[in-house]
Amino acid sequence: MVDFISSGIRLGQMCDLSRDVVAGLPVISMLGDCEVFIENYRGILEYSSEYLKVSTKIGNIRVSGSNLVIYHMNQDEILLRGRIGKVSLKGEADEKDT
Amino acid sequence: MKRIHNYIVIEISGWERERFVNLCCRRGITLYNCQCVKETIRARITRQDYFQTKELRRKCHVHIKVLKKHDIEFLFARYRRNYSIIAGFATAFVLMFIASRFVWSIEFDGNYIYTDDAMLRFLNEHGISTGDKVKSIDTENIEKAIKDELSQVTWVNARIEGNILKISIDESKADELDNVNTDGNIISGYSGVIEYIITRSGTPKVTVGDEVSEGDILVENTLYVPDDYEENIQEFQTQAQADILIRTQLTWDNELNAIYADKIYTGRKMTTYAISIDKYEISLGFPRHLKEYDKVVNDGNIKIANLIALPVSVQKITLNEYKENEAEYSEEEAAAILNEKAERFIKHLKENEVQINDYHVNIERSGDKYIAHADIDATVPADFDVRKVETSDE
Repeated sequence: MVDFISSGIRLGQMCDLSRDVVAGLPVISMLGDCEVFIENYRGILEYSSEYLKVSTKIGNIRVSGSNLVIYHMNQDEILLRGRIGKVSLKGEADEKDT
Repeated sequence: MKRIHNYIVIEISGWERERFVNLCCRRGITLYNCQCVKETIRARITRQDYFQTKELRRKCHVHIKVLKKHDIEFLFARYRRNYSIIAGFATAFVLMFIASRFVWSIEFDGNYIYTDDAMLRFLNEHGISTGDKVKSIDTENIEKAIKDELSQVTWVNARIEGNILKISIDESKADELDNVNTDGNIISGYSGVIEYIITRSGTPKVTVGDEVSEGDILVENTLYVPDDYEENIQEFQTQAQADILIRTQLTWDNELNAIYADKIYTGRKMTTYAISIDKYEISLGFPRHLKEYDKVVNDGNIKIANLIALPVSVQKITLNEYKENEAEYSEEEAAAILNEKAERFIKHLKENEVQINDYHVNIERSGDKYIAHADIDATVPADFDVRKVETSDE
């Protein structure tokens, strides 16, 4: 999977294409500490008002904070609003941060 | 991101809530405003998407509770058997359709000299009033009548917007003296001294510095053109045109009754409402306990989208109670009032391009009146009519 991703990245660079489109990498955008926008995700693993875990191609993305609201969610993107405390990417370990 | 206006608020409860949410996303069902409340997820979803979740609910063993419906189709479904509402809407549309065939509102724009009431009276005299059919109103005839009969209107436009008759007019500040007689000469309206004369057409009979009297011919309508030998002089008739300024003495007189009824407002007010349908009025209140009062009425037709006026208008009537007290103006008060009137007259003269060189106001008491007399040294255009300024001042 890593080879596929790295070859996808190289192919994207050669053809001047967006790497997230070619390699299917997640794109995380943040607006201050109140908004997180995640694209190219696979699904939600856990969700509560203090914690959100989504799975992506490269692993799980964890977002912790308070008053977390999924403002908009469809097949490819998810917009999370609230008081964002921490956004973390972890490869294999699957710990819930409190 | 699309903002939805018609949605259902649902509450998802069960063990596999997240799985249900993921499957919704996979199926193209968009969820908005997902919030985690205790052990449930609340989200907004469109009505069409909600019906598509039936299979997914069974698959994920979740329970969905509908908390709120924000959709106009639900509103229609709720009242679909309520025939009285349907009948009410239908009746309202029919009445509005019928009402839109008649003119229920006439609006005027640009009128300062002619008040709205005066314009309405003028239209009534020509057979036009509220309640007439829209098709029967001939706007061209209205424009022609206003232009022909109202001398101070320089431009008029009449149009029907929706079922509102709108008339826009442009007025001249002061009418020209009718001092160009039928023969085309310019006649002096004042006695004085010519200060300035530029002739554009015709033969001038006066020059700067000449003394003229009222009624003297200032510019003749005949052009005298000599031939090359200056023997035979040919005469050509033309319309005399010239700019002439005459320095003259204008007078202004006004009087004020020394004894007057002073209104002392008690501060008590009453507000009532009335509904008027065309010319009939239904009052919704009574002026109780007020003996004497001033009445202020604000009214306006009910309009739909500012295009369709209904034959119903709502009036807000405010009554301000007062007590009448006989009082007498002191000399200072009377002088202040009369001086203010004189100043206003002078101001109107200046607005009409009259140059004021000097003026003096004399106020004296005669019996039960104060009489003011002003002598004004002014330079006026020869065609200026001071009577129009006096009229507008009152």
